[in-house]
Amino acid sequence: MTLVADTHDAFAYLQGLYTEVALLIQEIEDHLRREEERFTIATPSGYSVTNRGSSGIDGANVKLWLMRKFGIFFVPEAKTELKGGSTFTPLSERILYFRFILDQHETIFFDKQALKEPSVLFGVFAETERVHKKFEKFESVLIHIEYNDDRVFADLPRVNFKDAYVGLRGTLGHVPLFALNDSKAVAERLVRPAIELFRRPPSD
Amino acid sequence: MYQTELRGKVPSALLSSEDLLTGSVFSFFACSDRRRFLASWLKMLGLAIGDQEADRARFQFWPTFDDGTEPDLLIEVGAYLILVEAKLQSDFGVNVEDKEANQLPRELRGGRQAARDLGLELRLLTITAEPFPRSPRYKDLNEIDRSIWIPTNWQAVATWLERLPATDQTDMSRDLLEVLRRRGLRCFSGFNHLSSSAQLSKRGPPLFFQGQIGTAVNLFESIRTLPVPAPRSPVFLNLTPVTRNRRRP
Repeated sequence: MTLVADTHDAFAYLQGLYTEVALLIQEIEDHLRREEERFTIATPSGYSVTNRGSSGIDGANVKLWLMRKFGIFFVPEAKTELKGGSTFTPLSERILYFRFILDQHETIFFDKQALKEPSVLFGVFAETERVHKKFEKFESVLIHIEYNDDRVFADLPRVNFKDAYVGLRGTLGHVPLFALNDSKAVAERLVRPAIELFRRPPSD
Repeated sequence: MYQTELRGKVPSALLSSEDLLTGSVFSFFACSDRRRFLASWLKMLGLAIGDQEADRARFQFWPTFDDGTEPDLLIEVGAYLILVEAKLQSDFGVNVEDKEANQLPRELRGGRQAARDLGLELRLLTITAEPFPRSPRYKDLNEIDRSIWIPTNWQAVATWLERLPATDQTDMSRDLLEVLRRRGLRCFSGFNHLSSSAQLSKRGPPLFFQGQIGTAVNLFESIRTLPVPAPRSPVFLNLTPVTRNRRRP
């Protein structure tokens, strides 16, 4: 009975956690929509988060069965184009990025200090460099970040990453996920600092 | 019906049915105390309805207009004919050959005619799962149409139910709120409620029988204690009629 109950509880907890994070994203959307930039969430392949998942059976891939971390980004409505159900955001645009770290937070270092708990990274990517021709839009960069997150986020709060495909520069902040317990906290601890980073002149 | 869904008797494939959800939510408004619930909800949406008008409201689920268009619901109440178009996962219908044959323009035409016939003012109520009105299909509503358009979402219904005074809540209103929560159609309520629910099986009684035969525990109560959010401030479509201020320009 314990195994049955534990399995049920484990899935119920994860489902609850995922549901709340999805609602948190909608909350962020609502806040950002009201800003003068009228931010809209990018939809690389529909209304979804982007993560590196797998249903492979070998050990390394089994670890990817669950979503432990994933990203989304926002862009001023006027700076992206909706084609079908997907947005097309030129690499030249400043984008507002959010990354949800539900697990393995201890592998993320900010000013050389490991994160102590599940967190949300937030900030700006600007002047993304197209190195490989297949990268025309930031939507394509999102999954590339997932496959290279250990290198992209190796020197936070700064991001200065370049490989054979893309060059990324930006600045991120972070907030503990579980500190976001109501709409006010989302506005004050996540959305407001993110917007301040977005509006900061590029030279800062 | 709520118990059917809450007790897991509805096939999972049907849980994404917008028609099932539409029936659940609007049957509540049709069948429960209309002064307490229908009038209050419409007031939140900016429509002032008197108690007697609420009592006399007429609900027509899935009526058919002359051209075959089938809105989800028509509510004749007070001075208004409210045409309800509900969406859950799908978007409003599109006709690639003729924009005027898109779903929203068709429903507006049919609704206008029906309202004229009844001597009422038309209001188009779209209810979706969007956190704010963002469907590109709203472009089908021209400026004139937008003056009669009331966008709302299922989450706002949940928030409204959460904020009902305890004295106004009924078993039916609480069950409807639970139906919406189970479907994730509520607003963000933080993470604190997760920790207690995760320990449910360890701390609480076993789900079916406690040790000795015949000592049944209340499974329904156990289910009810699964993740339930605390009341919160609404995100989009507040209890004040901000819905109408948050339309796309």
